[in-house]
Amino acid sequence: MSRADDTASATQLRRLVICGPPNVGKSLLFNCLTGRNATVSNYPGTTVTVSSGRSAQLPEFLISDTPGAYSLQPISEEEHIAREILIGGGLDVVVHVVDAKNLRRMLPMTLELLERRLPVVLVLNMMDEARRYRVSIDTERLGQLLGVPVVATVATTGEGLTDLCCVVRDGLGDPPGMVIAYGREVREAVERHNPDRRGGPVVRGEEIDAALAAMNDPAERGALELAARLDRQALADRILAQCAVFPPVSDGVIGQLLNRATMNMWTAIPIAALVMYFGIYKFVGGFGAGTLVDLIETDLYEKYLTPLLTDWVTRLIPSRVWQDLFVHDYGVLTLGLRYALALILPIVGTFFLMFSILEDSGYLPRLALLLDRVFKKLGLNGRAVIPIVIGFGCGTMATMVTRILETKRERVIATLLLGFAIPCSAQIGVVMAMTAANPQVFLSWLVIVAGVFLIMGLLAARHMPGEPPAFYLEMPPLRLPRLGNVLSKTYSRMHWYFLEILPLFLAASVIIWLGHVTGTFGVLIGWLEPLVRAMGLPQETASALLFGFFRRDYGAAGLFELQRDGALDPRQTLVSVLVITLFLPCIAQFFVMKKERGWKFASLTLAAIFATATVVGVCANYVLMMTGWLSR
Amino acid sequence: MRCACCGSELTEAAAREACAGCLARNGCRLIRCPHCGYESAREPGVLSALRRMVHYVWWLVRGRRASDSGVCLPAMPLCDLRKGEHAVIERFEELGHVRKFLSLGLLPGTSITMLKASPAVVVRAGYSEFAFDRTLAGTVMVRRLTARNR
Repeated sequence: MSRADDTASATQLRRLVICGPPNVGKSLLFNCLTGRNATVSNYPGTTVTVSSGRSAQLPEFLISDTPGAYSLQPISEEEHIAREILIGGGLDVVVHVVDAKNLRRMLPMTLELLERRLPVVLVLNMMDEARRYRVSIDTERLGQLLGVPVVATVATTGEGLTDLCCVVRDGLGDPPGMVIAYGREVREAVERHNPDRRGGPVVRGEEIDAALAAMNDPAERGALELAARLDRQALADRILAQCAVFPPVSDGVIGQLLNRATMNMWTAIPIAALVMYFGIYKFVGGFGAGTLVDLIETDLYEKYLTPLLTDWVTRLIPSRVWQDLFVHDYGVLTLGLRYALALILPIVGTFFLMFSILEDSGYLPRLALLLDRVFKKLGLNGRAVIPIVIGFGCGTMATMVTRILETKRERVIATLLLGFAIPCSAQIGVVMAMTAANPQVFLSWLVIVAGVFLIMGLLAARHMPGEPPAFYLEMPPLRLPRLGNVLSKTYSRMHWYFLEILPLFLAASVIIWLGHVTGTFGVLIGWLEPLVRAMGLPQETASALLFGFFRRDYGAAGLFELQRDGALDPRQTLVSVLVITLFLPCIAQFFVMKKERGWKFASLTLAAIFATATVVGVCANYVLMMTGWLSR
Repeated sequence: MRCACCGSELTEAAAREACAGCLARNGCRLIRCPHCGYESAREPGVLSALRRMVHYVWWLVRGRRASDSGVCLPAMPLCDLRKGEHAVIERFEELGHVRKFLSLGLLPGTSITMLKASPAVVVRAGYSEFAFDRTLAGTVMVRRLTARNR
């Protein structure tokens, strides 16, 4: 946001902010206007940060997309972000996006914005869905009543966007402002908080904010918020009565069948199992980690690229030490780049593609509903499904997404669990490939990691102070994912991921090279060796684990190679995949943890994770040795 | 069913209590009225089904059931509502949780339809669906709408 401020002041750009409730298509509208790729999905809370961009149609504006907010009184962290921007001032246009069919419940926030004299343009998005429900809204009349421009759009098809640009370009004039006749209850509450208030009978929005901010008792706050909201809703209803018709919804549409099936225990569990099996196991594990990796790595990279690169470098650089930096065993080109491009990219790519399809269909909130009870036991609520599932893609991204959780306690627990026991897609892919020959190993891995996840969650829920979590979520309708959006989202996620990991992979290669040249690497491996031996693993795994410090997937990729060369028997495979899964979160995740939760939390977690991984590894090895299971 | 002697309504539970001292209570086809002590024959299943059917047809014809009196029903927690029932939100018991409902646009006076009661409550309000856990749903008092006052 600070960068956006700087550029705005530097170039005298006018500022346009897109705001509105969650899941109404703010980010899609932003993308349409700016041609950028902010992530869009079918559940509330996808946008957790502010992104800014410029538009070809509106060259004099700097356009910012804000996280969803239901009102100007924030509940979660991301709503705080939106509020700060809206209240902060200096905005030339505020585009308030609402879902046209749910205008009745979203109009009160428009009134709140108008009350604060913001230059609002009201955008009724998703008009196509509203038409399907036969909702009719007279936008012109609504605009007259509110005193601001009202535009009807369908962001998915681009309908109405030209109108929006015209309205914005023509200028808005002075914001009309609006006085909301708050009732006695609101005035009394405000006056109780501020006895020498001299504003007469009309209460302003700012006064309510001040009163709310000064209240400590949640019940008292709730009462005031409820009263204020009821007054705003009454005004909204009076306005809508003059310009809109909302026919009652009819029951029993055929399309509702799947909707009900995904919410019913008996049908939803088989559906979830199918999704897991085909989506994750077959597509990501089989196609991504198997076919694609084979194709790119073995056929393309090892056969053609590696010899070619080695040849070039040996001809260009005579010194063996410097050659090693680029090629041979640990070279930047033959190790870092190869891991990133040939091993990790196909796996992560297929996962993100799968995940985009899932999230666009609106399936995830339904999963949240089903898993809510389980998650309650872990001190989380069903909503945490979203960061946890993203965690199966990339733990770093997921740690950022924990912001959608409401209480600090839940955010802490989710961050912990993501660090401890959620393997990222690269790891899962590698684990699946490593265990493909031996389903027993895969199952044991699954059981043990799930066990650690549950135990950690139960412990956290028991010992973490704070109030128990509450689950409430809007269920978006099931929608057929649109190919264009799925692809662009997969692309933007992979883009982000790649920018994030490629430098780290390359840096890891360089550090490993440095370590080799200076000999410190040998010392570190020497320290790790007793541990590795206690886990019954061959000594070469020590270096894979050490790489795991930099990126979990990097270490996993190293293990994958070892196993393919036949250096690991089934028991060792199990122990090593366990340790690498439970091992430290990658450096990027650690830094995000630090950013979100602070140094102390991040380093303590790191230590705890290291200890857990070691203990589990040693115990697993011991148990396997004793029982003789998995050792042929 | 009704007692053949005194005409009072017999519930299964009350009758079982009245039978408590009897030695032959297992497999006995008689049912004892707790009020007058008269033992009437238990109604065969076919008959009670038939009777329910007649009741249903009668309800269809008249437009409402005997219990659907037009009188205002007392407020009840949202989680006690059954699937498919309609209700209007009356008030929130826990003011500390109010903002959660406000954020979803659920206010006193909003009419809702119960879609699902377990594992979590799912209701429809307007054109949207919302899910809550049962604890949260227990803090919302609703007034059930019957076929008549809907």
